[in-house]
Amino acid sequence: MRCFKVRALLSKYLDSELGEDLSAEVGKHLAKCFACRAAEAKLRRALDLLREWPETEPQFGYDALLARVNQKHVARERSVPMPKLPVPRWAAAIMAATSIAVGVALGIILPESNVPTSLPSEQQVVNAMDLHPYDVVEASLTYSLADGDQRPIEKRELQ
Amino acid sequence: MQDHDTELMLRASRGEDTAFRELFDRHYKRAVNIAYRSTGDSDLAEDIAMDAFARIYESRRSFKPTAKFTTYLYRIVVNLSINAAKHRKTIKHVSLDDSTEIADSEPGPEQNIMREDLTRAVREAILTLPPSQRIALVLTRYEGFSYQQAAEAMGTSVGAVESLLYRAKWNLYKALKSIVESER
Repeated sequence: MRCFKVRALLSKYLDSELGEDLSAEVGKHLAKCFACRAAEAKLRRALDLLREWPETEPQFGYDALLARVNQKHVARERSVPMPKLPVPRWAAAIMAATSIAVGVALGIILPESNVPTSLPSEQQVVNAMDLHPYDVVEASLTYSLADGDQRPIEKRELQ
Repeated sequence: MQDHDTELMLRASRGEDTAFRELFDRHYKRAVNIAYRSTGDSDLAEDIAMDAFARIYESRRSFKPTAKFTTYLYRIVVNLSINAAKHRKTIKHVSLDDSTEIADSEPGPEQNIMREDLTRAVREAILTLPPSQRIALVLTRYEGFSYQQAAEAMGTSVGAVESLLYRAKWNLYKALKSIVESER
């Protein structure tokens, strides 16, 4: 076995994760190769140092777990969850894309039917505003609402 | 045939709280220590382990024995630990409380200080590893998991664990090089 292959296998060798045959082959190589043996020794010593970090002792027990579960349960009962529809994310995305597409299509296809194309007659204005006919005389003299020409009468007469 | 833990979990899913308590007693300390060595914080570790058990307890009625209970538990602990480790940018230094067990063998004060320094160096070397490398190392080296068990707990392949461990060990060696070389 070559050195580069042994180096690649050292990690598994140290964890006893190589099969019996491969492990024996690596062992045989280490016995005769000083450089690989040194590399193996370095890794082994570094890993041996791990035992210098002791484990920790838990402070809490099963009662603390039950208290935690109960606390979560109470918190959940207090909050009023919004009803959630079981709509998958992909379906929500499709619905959103469809509504945008429909909106754009309607905007292109439909005529602008809600936009007034002509001005209301004088009588319509009077009726809508609940005014006496004489109240609009002055306005009629300034702007002619009936024929759609919004220029002041005086200006039209000057032409 | 199911293992004892899975049987206990099935009993717990049928409403037997004593069975869940037994599971807790059997695995809580190990769960805490996996989280502890993954995050470097004993309080956070206990919170992670408690959270993992609370999640399992709350969903116990719907438990299906598709995998071993321990795989299920340690997967949750590992995921919570990886998330916590990723969000934790700074390494908390070893407090006196965390190192109380070091002084158990009653050596002299000078030896105690040296031992504490060594513990701190090892701890920091582990905590500077990327979270996935660290957890692979913790599971296999501290908890004695096989590569297969570590892969299941981490939700990855055995090949990925091998690769993580290869890099973790050489990174660990680099971080501890001065100590390793001085021991020769």
